[in-house]
Amino acid sequence: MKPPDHYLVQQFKNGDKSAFDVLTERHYKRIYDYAYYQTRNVDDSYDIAQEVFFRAFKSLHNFKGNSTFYTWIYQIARNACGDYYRRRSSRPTLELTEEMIDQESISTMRQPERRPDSIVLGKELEQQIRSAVSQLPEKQRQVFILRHFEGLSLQEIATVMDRSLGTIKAHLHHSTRKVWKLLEPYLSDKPVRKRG
Amino acid sequence: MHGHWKRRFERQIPLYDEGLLSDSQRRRFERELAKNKQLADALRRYGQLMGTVKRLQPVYPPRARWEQFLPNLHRRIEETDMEQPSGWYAQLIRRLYNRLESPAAPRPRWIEKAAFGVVGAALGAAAAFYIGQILPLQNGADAQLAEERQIEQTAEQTAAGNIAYEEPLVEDFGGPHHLIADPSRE
Repeated sequence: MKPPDHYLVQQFKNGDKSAFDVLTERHYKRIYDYAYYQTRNVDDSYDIAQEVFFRAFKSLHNFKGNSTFYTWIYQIARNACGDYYRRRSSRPTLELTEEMIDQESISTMRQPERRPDSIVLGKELEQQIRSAVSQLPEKQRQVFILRHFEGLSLQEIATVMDRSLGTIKAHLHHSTRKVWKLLEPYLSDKPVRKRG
Repeated sequence: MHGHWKRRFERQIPLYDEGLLSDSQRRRFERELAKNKQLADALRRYGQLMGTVKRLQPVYPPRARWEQFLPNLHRRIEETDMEQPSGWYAQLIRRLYNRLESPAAPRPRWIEKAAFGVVGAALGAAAAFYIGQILPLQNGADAQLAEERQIEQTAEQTAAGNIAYEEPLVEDFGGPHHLIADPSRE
């Protein structure tokens, strides 16, 4: 049976540094994912994930356990992404590179239940989804990512973002509606009329 | 279905899907759903979209780099430990800093702005004090120094141009009696 996070945190506070390795192994993928959905850049996401766990290592002895370890680490990730944007002073790039498209094709092809024609449609839809999400205002984008990509509960998102549950519900509703509105033409049975 | 009501129910689809409608709203929505094909289609399309959203996968770095995540993190922690001074005062400062600066705490922008404002005001005051008080004194001292230098230069030039200075003899002034008693006053 895997030891729970709070037990590992306590082990770390008692001087067992290897407990942090277990925590890192357990959570670094989801933090990378979160950073990737924010930045859409592999190298930056990797660096942000490194920075998040570095900051966590330095501050874990001050972690009071008012929230779960992983919502705490998401809070650090949120701040690290904020720092990233401040350094960059710009929104993430919307275009996918050729290399990224190839890798995405591979990840899409790995799903055996999907037929080749649906892969083409699905691939276009995936790109449209990424583009639509990146067009959302910052708070709505974060709520959307945490809810739909990361699968956090609304209460967990409220903790991560330090906002009330009502505010999170409103952000989620607005963001989901906007994404849906942008993508509905791709979902209807009618042919999509492309702009330009 | 009337346009207004159609839009109202369609707007509720994300809320219905998230389970955020109240009991009475949900019952009304489901009643409408049972008799309205358009709403049922919209709900199906919404489900299709959210299904695709949940299947989206990030792009990961090459496997070799991915597997080096923990070793890279260890290296960075060790490097920082080596760089940091290990005296008791350094540890104290670090502990204080960690208490004040939690990496998980939200960072409101107004704090940064206020900090920049305070630092800016302090720098401005220092600059004003320098310009108003220190600079004139410094200019006065510089002017005095230049004047003294000019006097010295003049003296040097005069000394170089003249014959060596000779002490005047008493006789040049009319002898020793001249100095003792002025005959014109008698």
